[in-house]
Amino acid sequence: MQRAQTAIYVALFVVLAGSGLLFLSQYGMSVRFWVDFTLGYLLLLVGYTLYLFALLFVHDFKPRTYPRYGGQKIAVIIPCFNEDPDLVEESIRTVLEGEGRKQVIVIDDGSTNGVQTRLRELALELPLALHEFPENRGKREALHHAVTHMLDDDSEFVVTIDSDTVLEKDALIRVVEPLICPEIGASTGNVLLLNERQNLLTRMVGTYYWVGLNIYKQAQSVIRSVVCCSGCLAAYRATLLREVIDEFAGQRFLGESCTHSEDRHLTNLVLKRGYDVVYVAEAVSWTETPATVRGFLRQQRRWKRGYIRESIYTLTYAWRCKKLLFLQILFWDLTAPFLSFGLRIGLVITVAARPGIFLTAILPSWIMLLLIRYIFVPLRARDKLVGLFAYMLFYELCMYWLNLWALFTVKNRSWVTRGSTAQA
Amino acid sequence: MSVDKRRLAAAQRTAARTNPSRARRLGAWIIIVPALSLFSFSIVAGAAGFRGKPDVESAAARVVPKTTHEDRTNGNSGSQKGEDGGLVLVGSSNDGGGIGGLLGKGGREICWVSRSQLVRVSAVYRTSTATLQVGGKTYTLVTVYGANEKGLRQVLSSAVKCRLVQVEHLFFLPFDGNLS
Repeated sequence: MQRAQTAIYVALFVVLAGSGLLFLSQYGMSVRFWVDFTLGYLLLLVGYTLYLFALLFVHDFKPRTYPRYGGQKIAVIIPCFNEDPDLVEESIRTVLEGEGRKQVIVIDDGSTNGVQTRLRELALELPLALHEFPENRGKREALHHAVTHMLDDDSEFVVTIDSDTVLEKDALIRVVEPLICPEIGASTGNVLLLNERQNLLTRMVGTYYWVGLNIYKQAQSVIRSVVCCSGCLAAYRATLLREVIDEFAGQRFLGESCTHSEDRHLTNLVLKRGYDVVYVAEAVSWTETPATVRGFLRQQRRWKRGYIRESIYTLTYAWRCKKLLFLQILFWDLTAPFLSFGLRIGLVITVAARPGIFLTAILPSWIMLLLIRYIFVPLRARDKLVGLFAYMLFYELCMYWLNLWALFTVKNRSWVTRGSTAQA
Repeated sequence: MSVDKRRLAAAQRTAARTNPSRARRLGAWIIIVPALSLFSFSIVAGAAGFRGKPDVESAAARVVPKTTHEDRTNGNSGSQKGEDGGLVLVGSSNDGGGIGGLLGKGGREICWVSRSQLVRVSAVYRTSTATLQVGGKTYTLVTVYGANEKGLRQVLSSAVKCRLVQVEHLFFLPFDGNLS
């Protein structure tokens, strides 16, 4: 397994270098190789787009329905580290006030901002089980402790939420309903932003979430292979979670133990065992996003490293049990950012050398094709159009290059969202 | 602002809208399918058309008069440059912006002209001279600045054989925001 992951990781560098060399080849004796490569990439882009829309078409006209919630016990785990006490309290209260028979477990992961005091008061007032780590051990350890030591035996489903997430009243029962089907091992819910209208960045992130959930995750759900059950709201079959939790806590990549992107790895472990993973748009949760570019980029650095690491992990098993997912990851999700490296370099050179062409030809074409590719945004979430343009521009200027940075630093273990010293 | 207020505010502005009616969904797909066809066609057809353009060397091989090319290939006076003509590189008359330009409809053309025509072109336009290997033989390549193929024909007042070439190009349609 480790050897396969290393080989795929090295192959990504080969793809990146190959794209760069092909770009340079056009300045040599012939443009032929570069033209053929570009055509191949564009065909891949069109193929992937058609595939995505085909899945969304299936979802629109043959939506999947699940059995209604029948009173099964749901264990809700809320790991907490240095969160705003008011938001944590709100989060816990929305869980307790929500529909469904439940057990609520709160793990304080060695917070240092005084939130423990609030949690202790809540534990006295409300029906919840609180466990405190004396020092910060990370979210994996928190989940591991809750699953191995605190779950009630009769809990059939386990829902994990972030401590800055508040739930709609029916979110818990909606997100566990798919798990009544024996072939489904995990499910994830919809995430909306509490602070979406705070500034242009949060509007942009709101669109990023909307597209990620209602286009990409929805399409993945049609093939029952959602690659990430979001930490904001995810549900797992309890027996399955008990089975994988030790492997989850002990994950290693390129010889290093792993910390961040635990939600994506837990989803991988479920898919690896042949279970389906689905997305439930009706299970709605609300969370906050960083409202500064610096904070957002720190979060994205961590997410992108996790994205690369876990996509590599997916390739090591998916051919056996999830062939469509394997092909999708191999030919697009994991490789496209590196395949398109040469194209991006070409863009940078063009913008610098011929800004006129960029403004009169490339930008209008880009906007037109962007609107077609993300046509669901103007059709179904018109209020997110500004955010879409802002995000895609931001992506080209900044986020794309973060992929390259993440490739080189994929072994980095720092969590970085909640403080520079945190290792969670 | 309290969580409740923020949640309410957000809810009013960005409702989840998870269940549009069947009619609305059908209506959406009536727009989506043609848009998607346009998207696919414009990318694939444009790129394929672009691919059809030869590079400078291949295009030159097509405009060099056959007899000259064969003579040179056979070694007859092949080492002498531009003995009975030369190659000129000019802008394409169809060069333009918009999506056509982006997808490679623009570009440059390479033409074969006689020796006397070459002198005339050099007198009218600013030029620079280089050499180009075609079929293992060396030819004079004159890059003409500020002229396109149409202007060249007007200056020379005679038929000139030209081929569209791709000297450089740009595609920018990556769209892989990886939003999942």
